[in-house]
Amino acid sequence: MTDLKATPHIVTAAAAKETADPEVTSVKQLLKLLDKTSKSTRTYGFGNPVAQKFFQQFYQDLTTHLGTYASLGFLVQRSELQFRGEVVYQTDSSGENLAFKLYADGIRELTFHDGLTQEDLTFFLEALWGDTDPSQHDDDDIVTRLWTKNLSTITFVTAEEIIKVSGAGDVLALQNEGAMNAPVSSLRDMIDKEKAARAQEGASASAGASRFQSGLVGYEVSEAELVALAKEVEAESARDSVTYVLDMLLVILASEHSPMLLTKLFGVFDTVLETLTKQGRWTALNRVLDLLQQTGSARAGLSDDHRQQLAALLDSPNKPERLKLIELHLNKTQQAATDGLLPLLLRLNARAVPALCMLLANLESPSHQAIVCEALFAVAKDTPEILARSLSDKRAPYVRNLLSIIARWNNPKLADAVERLVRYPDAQIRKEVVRTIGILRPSGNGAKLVSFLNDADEPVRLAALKLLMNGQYTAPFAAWSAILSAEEFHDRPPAEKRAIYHAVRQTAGDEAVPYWQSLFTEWSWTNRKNKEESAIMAAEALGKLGTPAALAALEIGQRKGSSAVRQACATALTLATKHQKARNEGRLP
Amino acid sequence: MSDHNTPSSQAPQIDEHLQPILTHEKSLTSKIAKGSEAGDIVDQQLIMLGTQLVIQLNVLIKTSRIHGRTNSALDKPVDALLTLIKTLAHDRPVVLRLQNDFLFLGESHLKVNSQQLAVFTSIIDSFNAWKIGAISFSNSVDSKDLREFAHLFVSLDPETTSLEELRKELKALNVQGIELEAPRALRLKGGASSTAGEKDAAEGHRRAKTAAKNGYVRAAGAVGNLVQNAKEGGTISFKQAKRAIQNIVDLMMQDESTLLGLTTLRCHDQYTHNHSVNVAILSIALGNRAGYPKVELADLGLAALFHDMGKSTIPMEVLNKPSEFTEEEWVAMRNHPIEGVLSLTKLRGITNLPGRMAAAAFEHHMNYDFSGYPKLTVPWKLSLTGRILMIADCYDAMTSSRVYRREPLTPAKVLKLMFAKSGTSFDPTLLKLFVNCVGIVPIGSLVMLDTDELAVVLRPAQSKEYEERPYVKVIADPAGEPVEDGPEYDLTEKNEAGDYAHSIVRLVDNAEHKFDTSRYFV
Repeated sequence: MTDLKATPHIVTAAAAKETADPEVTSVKQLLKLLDKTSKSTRTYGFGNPVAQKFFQQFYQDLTTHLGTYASLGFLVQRSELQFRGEVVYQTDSSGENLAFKLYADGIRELTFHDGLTQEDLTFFLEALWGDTDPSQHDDDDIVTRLWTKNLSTITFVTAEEIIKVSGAGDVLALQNEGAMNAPVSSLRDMIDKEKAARAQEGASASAGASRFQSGLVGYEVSEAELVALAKEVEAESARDSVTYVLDMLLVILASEHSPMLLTKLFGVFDTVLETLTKQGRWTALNRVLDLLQQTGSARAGLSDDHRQQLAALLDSPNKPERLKLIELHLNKTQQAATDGLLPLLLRLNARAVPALCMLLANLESPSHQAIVCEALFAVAKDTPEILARSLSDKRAPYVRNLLSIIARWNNPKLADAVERLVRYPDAQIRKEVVRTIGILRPSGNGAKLVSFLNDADEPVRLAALKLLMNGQYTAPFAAWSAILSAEEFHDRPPAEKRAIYHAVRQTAGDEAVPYWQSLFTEWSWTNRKNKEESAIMAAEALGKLGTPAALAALEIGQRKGSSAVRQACATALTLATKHQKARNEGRLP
Repeated sequence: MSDHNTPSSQAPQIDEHLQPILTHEKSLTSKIAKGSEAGDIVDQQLIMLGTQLVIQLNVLIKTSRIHGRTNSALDKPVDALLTLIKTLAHDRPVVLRLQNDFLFLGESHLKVNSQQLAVFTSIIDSFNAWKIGAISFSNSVDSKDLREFAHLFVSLDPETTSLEELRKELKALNVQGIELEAPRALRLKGGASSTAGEKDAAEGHRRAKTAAKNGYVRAAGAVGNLVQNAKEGGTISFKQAKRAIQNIVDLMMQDESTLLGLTTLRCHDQYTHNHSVNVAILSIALGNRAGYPKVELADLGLAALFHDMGKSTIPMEVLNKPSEFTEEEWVAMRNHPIEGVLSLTKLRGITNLPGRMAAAAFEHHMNYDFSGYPKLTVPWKLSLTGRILMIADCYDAMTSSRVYRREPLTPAKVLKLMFAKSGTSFDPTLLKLFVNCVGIVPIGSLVMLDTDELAVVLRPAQSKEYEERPYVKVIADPAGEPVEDGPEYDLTEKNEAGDYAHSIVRLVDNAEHKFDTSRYFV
């Protein structure tokens, strides 16, 4: 505390003095760099390259300074730092600057000493700004944080220490009342009584025996006992506090009989469960819930009220607000641990499904969503309609997750709900919808799938076509006619048109024959080439259909169509005859 | 963890009706002095009010620059300032002090945030301009005094008017209850700037004592504040308690015996919660000997400070009841360890509650053989913290008096009783360490020397070889005349003939004489 004598007046006088002291110059530069370092580490974090650059530069320069001058100490004022009476750091910006930060927490003097390591400096910078997590209790300031580290290379003097050495009066005075308030003047009586007692003892004992002997023996502590204690200290320090306190609460739960304390204890457990949820301690949470469950069955003497409290605790994870806490933790915590999360969610019951759906909808990380999907798959199996209702949600990732769960359930009852998503804004979802329909309704009426063929997105249309072409679906030709008769139909790529005709063949069969036959003879002033192309594809489809009606249509086309159509019909007929023959011979199915 | 001497509860077989003679004896249950409610307005609240005082004083000064002393514009700031002064100044004036750019309310540093900086700066600049070190407002100050003071403060020019002249002006206007103090000169620890007085060892010792007392009071204040918050159902922040305990750990490292001497303080109402502080000090001393690293000593001390948190739910009348407890009251007393765990868990949240703190609250009445309370039906392993607390708590409780029905016991008697319970109520190794710590003739004991002088034990002998020969301070001569600032004897010192210069012949039961030895440590 050698610099403490600097008063503002001396400082002012000294500041006016011209100086070329290299130490002062070095201190000025270092504090400027310290300011930049602390600001950059605070703003960008320690890992940031810019912050690291400042940090390394400051550490290097500080080490050089300490190598030369052994220490760097400065006095703290509201908005400036002083060294040897000179202002070595000053800022106009009020608030979050280095000087004010130290001043606000009551640091008067700070000194870095030779031997300072990078780790020490890192800790100092962390201590300077403290824990930025507002959820944490405000238990520390710079002083308590620096004290905890017990660094010999960074020392400080606090404002309170100054007031103590500045002639502060005695803060502790005795009261002159109470059971032990005999006045000092009674000492004479006391001595007289003690002398009398001693004389009495002396009459019956030798002079040597009257000398005080405590009678206490055997209070030497062996080395082995000290070693054992040291191990205990170490173990106690390494112990996980949360687990330990939980164990304690569970022991109380198992042992306590006072109804009043049990009521409070259950109240505390509710807080504990909430806190563990907030903090994302899923494994501990599961453990507590397991043990609460066991207690319920083990403690037969619990009153009805306490049983209700216990039941409420066990049910508490189902509360929407608890699931909201899970969401907040997972979304706000970088690399949040998920061990134990799925088992926790699997504890939930059907009542939690809406909130669980909400959780799934609001989670940002796909890996977290996957865990909730897994939980919903199990928990919502008996109430699938809740998920079905949520399919209309506007958040595509959420709907995609719901579809994946529904697909895994493979519950045909949900097909209608899925099919309603034909106009869902996200193309990826529409494609997923088609895929899911394929799972939920792998055969039967394909009319809904046909409606996907008007989708603006080609992959969606192709996915639907793929299903419609697989031969498992039927659809009346009426379902197709709107698509086929639309002007835009001819604008579709030839491959798609061909695929549609084949899908029509697979789902409508002979019902489509009159339409295709009409194409052979259709005459048009416009779009002639496209229409002819359609007629050729129709010939191909009819050939593959190979039914008598189809063959009859082809023969008409072979006679009445344009030359290209006639040729296509002839080719189709030839192929159809070949296939027929092969089928008859059993070479084709 | 080593299992050395560490018991586990296996459904204890102790008869609940048999009360152990120590902490579990009904008549000795620790009724920790909760003291007057006024005493609870400490530290944090006080600092908050102090900051308000600075703000309102600034408003008054600024308003006085514009308006005359009788203008109604001054009514509001004057009223606000008066209210604050009346709240803060009870039996002594409230002092706003400037020391090296920091503002203090009494001895408490007034922390400032960036929003308050401008106001603080304005007051600090005003103080500096007038060369004022402190302003004290007594309870007798009234509206007229404040108006006159503010008027003079802004109308006189500090460049041409001295502080003395300002004082005279105030006196001439019959302004009562406002005192202006010049800045204090710092009295430094050493080096070239030391004064002759500071080189004096006695002065150094006095300051060490003062520092220890300040540390003690701060810790008592912090615990009082937190207990009050707990009572009101608020959350509790350990910041102040932490700083107080860290300070105590530092003091302990420098001068263990002075701090241990302070634990002889017994239940003086205005310093509430001193049992908790005593237990913290004793625990830190014992933990230090048990091998706790410095930083963890602070954790242990903090845990000890709040070991009786569960008593915050027990009414003061019960805690201070001079007669026997009713069955219901006794149940409340027995419940306090669990109440403590529950309160702390609720107030701090399980993830912010140090394990040591929970252990201290839970186990401090449990006894080494689980014969105490709470009774457990499932196995539980006693923590080191809990075992330390059992010793510290029992020692302080049994040597205390005041609110207990029974007279306190002398420290030496207490040690003997505790030793008789070694291995049953107390961890034997820790108890041995504790004896080494407070001394076989414990600090605070009143002894009669072979010279017929009466003395108080200040600290144990340095060497274990001389455990029965501590350092003592003479308080009365052979004729029974009190000796002011009597000599201190190292009882291991020998005279020229090779005999001990002074020896203890008797331990005096100061409780029997109703004589509190703590006056020699304060």
